[in-house]
Amino acid sequence: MDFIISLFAGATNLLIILVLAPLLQGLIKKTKAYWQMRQGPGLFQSYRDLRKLWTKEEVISEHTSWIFLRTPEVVLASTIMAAFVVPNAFGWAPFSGYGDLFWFVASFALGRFFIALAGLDTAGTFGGMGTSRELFVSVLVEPTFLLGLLVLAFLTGSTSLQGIIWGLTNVSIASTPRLLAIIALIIVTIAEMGRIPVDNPDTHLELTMIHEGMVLEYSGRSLAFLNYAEQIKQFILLLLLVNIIWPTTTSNGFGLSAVLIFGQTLIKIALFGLIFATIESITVKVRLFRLPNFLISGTAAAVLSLITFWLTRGRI
Amino acid sequence: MQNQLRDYLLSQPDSKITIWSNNEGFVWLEVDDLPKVLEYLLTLPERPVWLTHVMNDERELGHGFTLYLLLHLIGDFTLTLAIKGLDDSFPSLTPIFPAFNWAEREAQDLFGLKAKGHPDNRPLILHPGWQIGFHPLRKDIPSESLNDDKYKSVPLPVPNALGEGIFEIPVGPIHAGIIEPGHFRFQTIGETVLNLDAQLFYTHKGIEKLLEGKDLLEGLSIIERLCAVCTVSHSLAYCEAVEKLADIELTRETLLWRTILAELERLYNHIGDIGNMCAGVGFALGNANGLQGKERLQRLNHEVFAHRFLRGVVVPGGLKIIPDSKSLYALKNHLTEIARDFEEWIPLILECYEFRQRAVTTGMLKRESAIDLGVTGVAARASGVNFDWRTAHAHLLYPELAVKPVVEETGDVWARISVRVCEVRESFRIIMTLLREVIITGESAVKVSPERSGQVRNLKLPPLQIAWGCAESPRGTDVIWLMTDEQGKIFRCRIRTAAYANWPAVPLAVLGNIVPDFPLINKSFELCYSCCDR
Repeated sequence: MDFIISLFAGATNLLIILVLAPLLQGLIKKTKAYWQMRQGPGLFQSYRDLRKLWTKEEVISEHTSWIFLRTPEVVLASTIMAAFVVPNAFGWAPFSGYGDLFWFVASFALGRFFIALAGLDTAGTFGGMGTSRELFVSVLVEPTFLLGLLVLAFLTGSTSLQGIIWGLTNVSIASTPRLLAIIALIIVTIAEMGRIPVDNPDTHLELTMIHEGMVLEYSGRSLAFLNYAEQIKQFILLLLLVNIIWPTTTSNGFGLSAVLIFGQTLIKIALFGLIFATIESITVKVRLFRLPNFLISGTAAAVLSLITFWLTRGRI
Repeated sequence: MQNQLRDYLLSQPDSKITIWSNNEGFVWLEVDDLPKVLEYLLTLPERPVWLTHVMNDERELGHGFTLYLLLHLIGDFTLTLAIKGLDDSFPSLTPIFPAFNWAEREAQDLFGLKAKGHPDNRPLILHPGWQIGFHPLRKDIPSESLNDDKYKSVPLPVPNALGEGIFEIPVGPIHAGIIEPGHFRFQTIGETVLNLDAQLFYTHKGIEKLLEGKDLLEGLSIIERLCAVCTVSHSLAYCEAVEKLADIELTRETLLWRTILAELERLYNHIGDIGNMCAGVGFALGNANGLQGKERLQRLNHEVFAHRFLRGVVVPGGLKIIPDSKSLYALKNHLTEIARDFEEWIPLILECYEFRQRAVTTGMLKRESAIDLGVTGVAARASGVNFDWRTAHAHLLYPELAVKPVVEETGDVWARISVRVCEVRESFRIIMTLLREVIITGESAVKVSPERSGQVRNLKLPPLQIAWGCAESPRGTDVIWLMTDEQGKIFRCRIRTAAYANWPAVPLAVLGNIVPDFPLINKSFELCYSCCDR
């Protein structure tokens, strides 16, 4: 019986992520439009865009191989894989086990690996440029991502994301290691979402693109897959960040209190989306070769977090 | 200095001075003397500024092909060097003064004359694929016969770069944004640009050929459509030439409103361009403010002058629309408000540390390069060249307005945005000063929208005369050179726009920068394709 309930809960959790991810994208776009003194597209435009792309004809270059064809599916699947281990509003993840923070980071890495290959596969110049830049960025981002999560794992004594979230309820938000890890993870989140100052998701300038450069050759249903995967990734990154920075007091209750907790988390995610959209509106994309300076500050925060943890606890 | 120059020119064998006044000189030279004379002029303490280079087919007049060079010297003196009797070639002046590079390649394409000694003999305007021996600006080619069945598409000749790690990036001619066509070929090592070759002239419409045989008013409506964003400047330059030919005196009111129109055009362009530069670095807030400012100014243009791009207002001898007192106050109030808003949002950009990071030292154009390539306008002034047609030449009401040219020394993207910001403030000041004059004298309230274009419609222009006109457009000095035929219609109209003068500088400014900075550098020059390609 317990097994069925947890299976049901896990499926619901996943379903909520899948359904709400485009809405978050719509909200971010709306916020950016607000800053630009525009009305902007409606909140549900991302759903309509996905539907439109789904029904559109696809153009595939004759020079591509199976990698180009399979990549959208692999990317979507790997992103959903990552979503399995992210705890929901109540702190429960559909799957959780030892070391699933590695599972989380590795799922993203798998998607990135394939999308980078697909960028090269078309032999177009923009795909190649996008791939080279994406790998340049990810070399700097992935270690920080792992290190930031690992410090939290040390702090809470668990290597599963669910364990970390539960453990964090006993750690003060003002504790130095946690604060530094949060700084590192915020920078990682910006880079992983491909947002300014790292990348500009809204640009049409093909020479400046990073992520958009790699997927430039995609159209129709494949593009819908990739865009949807990107939206899910954005949603779960923010969900994780919300749970780490500002977890809701978890409870096992059903009924009204559960709805309240659930609503609170959604509002928090929306709030974080607003903040990131605002940052994106009021700052400038940094020059490509100054990106390491920005990303290294995240790495430095993660390393400092580890050191302060070691100093305060006297052990690791 | 002018006397000294005159003596020098007279000392040339077979030189003939036909015009020599305080502001204007016209000299016929022998073909072989031209390079020598130009070299002498370039060693003068104040280097002359290149205005235009005109090749003309005057075979039916018995002159063979004729070449006119228009140079502007210090002391507001405009010197025309002319050579005639060219047969199948002319001496290339590019090695002496690289500013003539494109003009000479253009003459090779369109007249079929060889530029002897030109370092780059690739075709410029006619892309490879046109029939050999097709030279459309020759008079013996009727314009009806011009169509594209003489064209077969072949690959463009681009320079090769070979070696390990060298990557070639073809971009365009069709781009992702709503911009005009141009093919850019980058050769890069990693992200650093080794070489950039810009192939333009995809929108070459043969306007100079189209203008031949047209009467002057038809000519004006064609000139106004060279491109949208510099309409006023193009028509001002054209009307100046026509008015010189017809010897028309302009009233002070006309001069005043023309000055206002030129500055209104500068305003909406500069403000839009500042916004566009923000788009080049993904700065949404700056971009939105720039676009909004531009849109408000264009709506104001429409409200007061009935056209968003101010087209159709300037006509030879006068103006088609002079605002009545109601639109006058609307103009004044809206501009005050837009100027206040501008001062509110411009610090967002100028004080944004990240924006400075992107703009400073990006896309440097050295002063020497700017002078050699004959760069004009904002691009030249940002590179330390103190040249602004509004101050260099006494015209419209500029002398009494004491316009100060804005000069920056560094020549980077930051310098170009700074020049634009200062010029926007100066333009607001100029317009406000002039509007105040109109309101005090109350002239405008009396005369409501007089139709004055009739003045020229019945006017016969003298045959076989030459005149030129210039205007400082938002992108630099536009030059229109005009010659009439026996009936007083257009025999030849040569259009040298600011974009044409500045495009060769863009690939130079990009060298050594990284590929993702190219859109920003390109936007900082903000050059038009249409009026460059014509």
